[in-house]
Amino acid sequence: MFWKKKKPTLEETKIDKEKSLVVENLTMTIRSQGKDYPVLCDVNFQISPGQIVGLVGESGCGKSLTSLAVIGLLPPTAKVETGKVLLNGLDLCSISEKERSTLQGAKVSMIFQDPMSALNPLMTVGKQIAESYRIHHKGASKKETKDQVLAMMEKVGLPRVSELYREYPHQLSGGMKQRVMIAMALINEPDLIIADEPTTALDVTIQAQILDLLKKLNEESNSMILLISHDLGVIRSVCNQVMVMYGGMVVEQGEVQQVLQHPVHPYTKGLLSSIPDPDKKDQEIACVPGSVEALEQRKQKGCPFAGRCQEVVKECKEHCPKLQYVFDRQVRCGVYGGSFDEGK
Amino acid sequence: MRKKQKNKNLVIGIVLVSFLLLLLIVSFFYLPYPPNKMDSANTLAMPSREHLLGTDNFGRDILSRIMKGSWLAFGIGFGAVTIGMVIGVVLGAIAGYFGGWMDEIVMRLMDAKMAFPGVILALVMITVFGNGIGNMILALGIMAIPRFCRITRTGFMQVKEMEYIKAAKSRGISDFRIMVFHIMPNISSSLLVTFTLGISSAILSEAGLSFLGLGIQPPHPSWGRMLFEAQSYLLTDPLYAVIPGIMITILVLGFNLLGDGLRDYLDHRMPQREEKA
Amino acid sequence: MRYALRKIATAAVTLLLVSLLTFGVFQILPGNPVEIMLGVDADPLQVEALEQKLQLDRPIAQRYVSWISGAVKGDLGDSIRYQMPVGDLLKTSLPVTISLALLSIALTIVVVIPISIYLVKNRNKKSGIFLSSLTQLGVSLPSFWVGILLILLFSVTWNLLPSGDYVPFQEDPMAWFMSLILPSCAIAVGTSATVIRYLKNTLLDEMTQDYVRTARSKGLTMNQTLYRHVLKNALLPSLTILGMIVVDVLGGSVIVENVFNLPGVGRLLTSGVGNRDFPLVQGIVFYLAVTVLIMNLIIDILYTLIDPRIRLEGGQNK
Repeated sequence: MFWKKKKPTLEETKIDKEKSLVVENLTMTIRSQGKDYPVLCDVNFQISPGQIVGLVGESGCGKSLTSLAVIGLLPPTAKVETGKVLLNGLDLCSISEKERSTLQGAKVSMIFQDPMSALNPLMTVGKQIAESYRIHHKGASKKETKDQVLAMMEKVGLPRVSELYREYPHQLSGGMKQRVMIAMALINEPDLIIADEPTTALDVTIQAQILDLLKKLNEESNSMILLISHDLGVIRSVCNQVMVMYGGMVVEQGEVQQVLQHPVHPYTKGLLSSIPDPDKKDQEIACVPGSVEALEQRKQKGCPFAGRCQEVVKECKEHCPKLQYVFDRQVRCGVYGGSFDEGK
Repeated sequence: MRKKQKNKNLVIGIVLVSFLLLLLIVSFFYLPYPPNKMDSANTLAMPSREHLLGTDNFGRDILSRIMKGSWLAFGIGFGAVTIGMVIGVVLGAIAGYFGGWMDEIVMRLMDAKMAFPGVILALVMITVFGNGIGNMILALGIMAIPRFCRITRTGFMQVKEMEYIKAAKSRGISDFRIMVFHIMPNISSSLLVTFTLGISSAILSEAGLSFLGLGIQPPHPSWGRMLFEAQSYLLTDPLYAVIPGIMITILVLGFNLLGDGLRDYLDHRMPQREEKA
Repeated sequence: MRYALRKIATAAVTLLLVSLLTFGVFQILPGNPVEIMLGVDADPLQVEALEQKLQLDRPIAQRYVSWISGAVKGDLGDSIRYQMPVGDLLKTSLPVTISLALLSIALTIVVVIPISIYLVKNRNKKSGIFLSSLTQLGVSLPSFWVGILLILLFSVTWNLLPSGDYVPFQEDPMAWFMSLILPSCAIAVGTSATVIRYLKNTLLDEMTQDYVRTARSKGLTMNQTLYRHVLKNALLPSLTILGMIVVDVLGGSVIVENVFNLPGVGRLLTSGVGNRDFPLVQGIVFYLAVTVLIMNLIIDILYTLIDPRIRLEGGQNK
C-alpha cells in the first residue's frame, strides 16, 4: 500500500545516542510458580534531551516493568530475555549491580506514584533528600549538602524550607510530599527522570501544579522524562511523544497531537472514548469491554488485544501483528495496515 | 489454580506428635517394667538389653517411666489448655461483643495476669492450694486464659461489625445465638491454632514447675521431675538428664510446628491476596 | 501527651488489680493459714504469735489497706522461714537476678540483630532456611534443660566454666561474668529465638514497603537500604516486644537460678513456695509484677518518644 513506509533505523532518525535513552527490542519474562511468562515483548523507543515521553495503558500492561527495567530495579523474578536499554550509549542491562547503583539517582532517577508511602516515615525530609545527594557526592561537606538540599527544595516550590528540612513526611500534605520526591529525584541533575503516575494519588488541583513543575524543570534542565500514566489528559498536557501499551507490547506510538487526535489502534480509540466528554452529555460513555487478563491466563498466540477488540477479525487470533508505520505513527494492528508476523 | 504448597511445619509436627501419641497408646497396653518398681542392685545403669534407656537412681527403668510420663504430659497439656480455652473464650466473647466497660474490666484483668512473669502465677497457686495434679492443671489453665481471651475478643470485634451480623440482630435473634452460631465459627480456626500452641507452652511450664520440685510429686514420672532427679547425678549418669529433656523438646517442638503448620494451612484456604507484578 | 496519660491511668488500674490479686489469693485459703504454714503439730505459742503478727482477727479490707500501705513504703512484711523482712531478703538477692537479667537481655540483643539480618538476606538459600528452622527448635527448648546441657558440656566435660557459685560484680567483675555467662545463655536461647522469628518477619514486611524502592532508586545498594532504612523501621515495632523479653527473662530466671544455684530472687521465691512462706511469696510476686508493669509503661512511653508519628500527633493535641 502506498502510505506504508519502511521503519526508519536509528541512524536515519539521527538521534544522538550519546545523549539519549534508547530502548531496543526489550523483551522480558516474569517467573511465576516455576514458569516464565512473557511480560514485555519487543519494546522500542527513544527519548532525546528536552523530550517528555508518555507511556499509557491499563494496569498490568507492562508500563511499570518498562520503567523499572530502565532504572534497573526489576523484581528478582523478572528477567530481560533480549534487548538493550542504552542510556547515553551505555547498556544498563549488561552492567554490574555496583555500576548500576552509581547511575541510579545520579543519571536516572525516579518519582513514584504514592508519595505517602514512598518516603521513609522515620527519617526527616531533609535527610532523605540529602542522602540522595551524598551517595553520589562522596566528599560533600555537611554544609554544602544542606545548602544544595535547601536550594533544591526551593526550586521545586516548597515553602519555609529550613523548617521543612527537619520535619517528618507525615507532617506534609500529599502535594508537598510529591515535591519532596521530585527534589530527591532532581538533586543530582539526572539526565533521565522516570515519573511513575506522579499525580495519581493527588488532588486534582495539586495534580496540575505538579505537572507544571515537571514541565518547567524539564525545560530548564533539558532533561529527558519518561512519564507513566493511565490518564490521557495528563499525557496530552505535558508530553511530546506517547506510547500506548497493551499486554506487554507497544500498540501505538507517535507524536502526542497526532496519536490522541486521530487514534488508529482500536485500543487507543477505546481508551480515548472512555473519557467522558462534557459536550456529549446524553451519550453513553463508550468503553473497552473486559479487562486485562491475568498473566497466567494470557494466550501465547495472536494479538494480545484480540479478546477485547471490537474490530477483531479471524486472523487476529492466529497471528500477532508487527509494529509498523501508519501515516505519522507506528501501529501494531492487523486490521489497520499492519502485517502479521509469520509463524507467531 | 494455586499449587499445593509444601507445608513442612505441618508434616514434621504431625510426625513428632504422632510418635509421642504412639508411645502413649502403647504404654496403655505394654510397659517394659512397672514404672515405679525399684531395683537397688541395678541403679543408674547404662542402656542395656534389659533396660533400653538404662535405670535411674532407684534402679527404675527409664524407658517405662518415660512412657508413663507421656500420660502426664498429654493429660496435663490438654486438660490445662481446655480449661484456659473455655474461660478465655467466654471472657473474650463478652469483652469483644459487648465492649464498653465490660471490655475494659476483662482487658485490665488480662493485663494484670500478664504482669506475672512465666510460671510465677502457677507458683502462687501451688503455694496456696498445694501441688496435686488437679491444682497443677487448674493453675496452668489459668495461665493459658489471656491468649484465648485476646484472640476471641479481636475476632468478635471484627465479626460483629459485619453486615450479616447486623442483619441477624435486626431480625431479633438473641445475642447468645448470634455469638454461638454466627460468630464462633469464624474464629474456630484461630482457636484451633492457639489451642495447639497453648499445649506446648502448658507442657513447658509443667516441666519447669516439676523441675523445681514444686510441680508433679513423686512417684509420678513427670519428665520435668525426672530431670530434677537426674540433676544430682550429672557426673555419674549424664544420659539420665538428657533423655527427659529430649522428650520435652520433642513434644513442645511437635506442637509448636503443628500449630504453625495449621496456621499456614488454614491461611492458604482463605482467598489469596493480590500480588503485585 | 494524652496518649501517655491514658497509658499511665491504665497501668494504675492494672496495678490496683495486681495488688488485689496478690493479696486476695492468699486470703481464699481453705482452713487456717497459720496451721498450713507452721504445720498441724506446731507449738501453740508460735501459732498465736504468728496469728497476732498477721492480724488475722481484723477484717480483710483493713488488712489489705495496711498491707498495701506498707508495700508502698517498701515494707513487704516478714518472712516466716527466715524471720527477716522480705524487703531485706530481696535486697540481697536482687543484684543476682538483675545481673542475670541484664546479661541475658544484652546477649539476646547482640545475637538477634545480626542473625535476623542474615536470615533475611539468605532467606532463599539453604543456610538461611536451616538457621530459620533452628529458631523453631530454640523456641521449644526448655531453658532449664539447656542449662543442664551447658553444665554438662562446659563444666563437667570440658571444665571451662563454673556451674554456679555467684560472685558479686564488686568483688571480681571477670568472675562475676564467668559465673553468669552459662545461665544467661540458657535463658537467651529461648528469648532470642522468639525475637529473631519476630524481627525477621517484620524485616521482610518492611522490605516490601514503597520507601525501600525509593531508597534503591537513589542508588543505595540492597545492603545500604537494609541498614539505613529498613532496620530502623523494623526495630521500632520490635521495641514493644522488649517488654515481653523482660517478662520472659524474669520468668526464665526463676527456674534457671535453681539450675545454677544462684542466690537470686527466683531461688528465694521457690524456697518460699516450698516452705509455704506466704508473706515471702506474696512480697516477691507483688514486687516482680510491679516491676513488669513499670517496665511496660516505660516502654510504651519510650515508643511514643521515638516514633515521630505518635510523638508529633501528641504534640499537636497539647
